[in-house]
Amino acid sequence: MTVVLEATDLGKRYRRKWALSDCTLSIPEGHVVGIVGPNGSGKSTLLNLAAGLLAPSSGRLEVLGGPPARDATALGRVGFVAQDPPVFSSLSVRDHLRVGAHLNPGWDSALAELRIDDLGLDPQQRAGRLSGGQRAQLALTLAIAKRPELLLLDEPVASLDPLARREFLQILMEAVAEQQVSIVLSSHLVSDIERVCDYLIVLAGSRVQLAGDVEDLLSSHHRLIGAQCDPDDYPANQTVIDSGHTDRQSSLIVRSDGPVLDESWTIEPVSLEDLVLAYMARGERPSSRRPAAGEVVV
Amino acid sequence: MIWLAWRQFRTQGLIVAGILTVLGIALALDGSHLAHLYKTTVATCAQHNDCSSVTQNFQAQAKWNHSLDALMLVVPALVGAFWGAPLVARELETRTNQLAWTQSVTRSRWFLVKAAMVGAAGVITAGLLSLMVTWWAAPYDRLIDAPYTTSDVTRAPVKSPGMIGRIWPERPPSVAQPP
Repeated sequence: MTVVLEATDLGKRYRRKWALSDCTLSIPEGHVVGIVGPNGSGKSTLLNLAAGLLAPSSGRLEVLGGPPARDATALGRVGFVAQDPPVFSSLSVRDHLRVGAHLNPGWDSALAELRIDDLGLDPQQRAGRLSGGQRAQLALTLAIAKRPELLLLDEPVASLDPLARREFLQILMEAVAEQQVSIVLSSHLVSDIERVCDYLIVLAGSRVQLAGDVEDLLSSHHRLIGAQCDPDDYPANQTVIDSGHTDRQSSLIVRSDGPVLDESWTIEPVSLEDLVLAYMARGERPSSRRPAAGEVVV
Repeated sequence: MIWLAWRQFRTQGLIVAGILTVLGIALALDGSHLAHLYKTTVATCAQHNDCSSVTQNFQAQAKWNHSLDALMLVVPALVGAFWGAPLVARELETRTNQLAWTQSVTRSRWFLVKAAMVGAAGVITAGLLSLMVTWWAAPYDRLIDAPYTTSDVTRAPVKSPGMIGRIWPERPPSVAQPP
């Protein structure tokens, strides 16, 4: 299986602060990968590193089998849509398509024209006067029409209203269906990720807390509900990710390494949102800031 | 990449080209007037023994002398401030570098093409300006070199700066020098 993005002990430091540390990841091709995490958890840093806009402070990163943005060919294989996508504000929509055509040997001009048409964008309009949603769509068009093998999107829908958000993700999914492209996108909203992604990465506290196929993750994690108890009484072969207690009962989110033997626990499936929140909370806790990489990466 | 660099530079470039054209027309009109004046008065003053008054009159007519001299000094600075400085800074400010750097063009090529285009435009602007001013000042220069120059002739500050690519005039704004 080909790997689109491989990080080994990857770290990025801004002055004294580490925005991303000890990031070890291997993302297989053909997935729609969602990176989710609270603000400042390193999502943008990871994507900017992958796009070659930042250089790592430590560790190694390979994108499509080579260092990111090594040369024009490598740049052509990766599409990138930055957070709150920048456009040349004095250039028209049509000019942007010309920019794409001039700067990318693999440019699919028919696809670009068709998308602009479908979106109902006026080719004569200056990009600076487009709405946030239209600007994001224009940036996505530029990134898709260069026919990349990997498409990186940094918080593509963060600045969009719910309707534009749904539309954007829908168009993104249509593009995936039509072309052979792997996608890595970040968001701080689980609902966006849930709708489109089949592979999940949870970043928190500038570290990778969880990475894996969504279905696998959901089947290997459970919520256990039982009588109020102490950590000593937790089921032995379960890794407790997060716990909540009321006066009468305890509710645990666990990664199941084996069946739950103790029948006093009620087992419930866990939702993606619960799972993400559990790992985020765990990542933000000071005590677990430096867990061993193998312990948390599933 | 050349297309993008040109498209981004187009408006500013055309504005400056327009200004240069207007200035060129003005200098052509005034310059031919000066050339005519030189030919009919200064060139023949020795025969009439009135060189002092004729040259004074000629100098009074060449009234753009000092402003053109200042312009020659200021234009390279303006080119640097309005074309050179924002070349990369503006892209970083509007984050459009993120868009440009993720197309299939390396960063060094992106920068080289932009810098070469704006640099060439700057050289052409300064060169054309220099050429036009030199042509305009030609009779004036001849007056200074003429053997009948009298002590009250001010040394011309805009003497022969013209050479394509020459950014600076030959000498700083001059003060009156004795011949």
